[in-house]
Amino acid sequence: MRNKLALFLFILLGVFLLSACSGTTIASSWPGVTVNQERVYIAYHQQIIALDMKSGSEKWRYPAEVNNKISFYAAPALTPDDGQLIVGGYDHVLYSINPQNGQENWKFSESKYNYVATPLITKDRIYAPTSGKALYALDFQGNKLWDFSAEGAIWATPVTDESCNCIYVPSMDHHIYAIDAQTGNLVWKTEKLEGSIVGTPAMDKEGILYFGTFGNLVHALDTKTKTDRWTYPTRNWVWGDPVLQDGHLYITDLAGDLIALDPQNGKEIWKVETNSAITASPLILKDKIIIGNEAGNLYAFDLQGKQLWMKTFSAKLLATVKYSDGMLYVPLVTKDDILVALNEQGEQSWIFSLAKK
Amino acid sequence: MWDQFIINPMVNVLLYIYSLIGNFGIAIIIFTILIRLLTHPLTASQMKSSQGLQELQKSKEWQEIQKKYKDDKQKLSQEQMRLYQEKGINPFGSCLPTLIQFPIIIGLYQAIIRALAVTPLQLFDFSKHIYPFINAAKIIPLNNHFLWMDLSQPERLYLFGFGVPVLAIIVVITTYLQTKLMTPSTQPGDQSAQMTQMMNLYMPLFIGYIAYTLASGLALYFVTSNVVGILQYGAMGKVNWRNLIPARSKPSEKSTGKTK
Repeated sequence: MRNKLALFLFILLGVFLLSACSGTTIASSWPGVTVNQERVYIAYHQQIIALDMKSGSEKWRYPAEVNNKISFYAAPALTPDDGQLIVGGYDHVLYSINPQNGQENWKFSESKYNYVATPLITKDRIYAPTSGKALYALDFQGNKLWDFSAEGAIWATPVTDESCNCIYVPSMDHHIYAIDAQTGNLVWKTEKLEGSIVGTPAMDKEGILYFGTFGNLVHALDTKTKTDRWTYPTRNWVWGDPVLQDGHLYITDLAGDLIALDPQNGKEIWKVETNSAITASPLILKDKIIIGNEAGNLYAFDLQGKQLWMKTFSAKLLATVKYSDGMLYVPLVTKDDILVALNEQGEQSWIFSLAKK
Repeated sequence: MWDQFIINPMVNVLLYIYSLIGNFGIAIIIFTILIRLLTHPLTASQMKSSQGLQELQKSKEWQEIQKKYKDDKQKLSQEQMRLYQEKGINPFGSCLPTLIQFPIIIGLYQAIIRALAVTPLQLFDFSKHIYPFINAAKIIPLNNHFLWMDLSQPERLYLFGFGVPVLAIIVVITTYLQTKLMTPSTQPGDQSAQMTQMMNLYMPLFIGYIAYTLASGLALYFVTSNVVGILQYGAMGKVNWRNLIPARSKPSEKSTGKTK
């Protein structure tokens, strides 16, 4: 009797241990969303989902049947003619999918590591960074042209600079690399900075790169002199991509601040404190700025930082809001509801839930 | 509560050690040794209890009730429990050192997985658990490679194209050695001894399975903990080497329970 009791307790302990572990073994993240003129493409969990932009009705899923070995969180990227949807998976594979019907065109399986970042697409190239230091340059048929190895993981989309025929690659290893776009050779790299860079830099016509780091600093890096024109200290890590528009540089940080800077000198023009972490980039429209935070608040500010409206969701808002044809597409971090469509006044049009299927 | 009192302190101690040495594998090893030192009073107390059990089982009174109630298992159990209570002995004592590890194992596993965040959401969540005195910006991303292992993934050493779970095998061996060396010699027919023997057999396999399937950082913890445990018991003079040789652990021979 006592033996049976001991065995039962032993099994119970095992179940307890494994159940405690299982919640953290499955990789999870926020949805990656891309829009064009007619569809919304969501990379989330084990599938890519295409939705009709107006109605939110589902068009296709890739793969059609769930495969437990595949998961997607990086926002897909469209080729210039919208002919291919390029998306990297946590199964180490880069996929090309037909955006119309969800059929696979090709896949590239050389990487040994996950694709966390959205690939950079130029007029004839795909630059796909991985979490395992490597960056792959491919043509539109999925043939590898070259690869480059950084010192650490790359979680941000690179930036292209046609004036030098190079691309700038931000890395978690605290460097930004300038790479020859034709050969993949290193041209130069920054000295080791104060923190990781996970946001895609903004770039102006003078060749100034604006980016933030986990070291609570925004840099304006002159790519010609390889020196900072200015730096700006933030209250917490800078995660989202800085956005340069109409003479303002907009940045966010994990303290929950939305800040407008003068890109010429780094002087603060205005700042709004939302008091909840912001990992997303601000969406800048012609007369308003849209940003969400961890607390689930979606804000609309005017271009002077005055709040126009706020809508609260029972979900974390950690991914960048997308915009097309007068509609806002807001990714949500919940179990089932993963995307909500709103008009510019914040009124809900439709919501997409995984529980529907 | 669990996060606040178990996971967060573990994560931050691990990070602090990592910030000093820059190697997550060595940080886990040092952290495990620290945990072993902190739980040393529990270990010593348990050892004392086990020794009491061993002495009780050799006593005349114990032998007599074994003979007297050999055909009445229920009565035998009652009498054994009476003796345990009289002598203030916990018959489950030999399982305790392993069972005590469970909350630590769960906490460490979650600490390792959080620290080696592989997705943006995991890293974001992790950033909120870091204490202000840790310069997180400087040490992130953590170097999760140690020897041939990626500490965030199950370990396999690829030899001639085959993935061999070397660390899981070492975990099974060291767990078996530890449980055998720490268990006092027992009397045949004793039900608690049978239970202990069963635990000694299944526990290494169970821990080995965990090491085989989960992050190798956890397997590194198991190996270190087992080796340190054996050394710890050895230093206290409590290692029972006779248990490794089945023929010599028979009750007809007088086991001293001392380190040779």
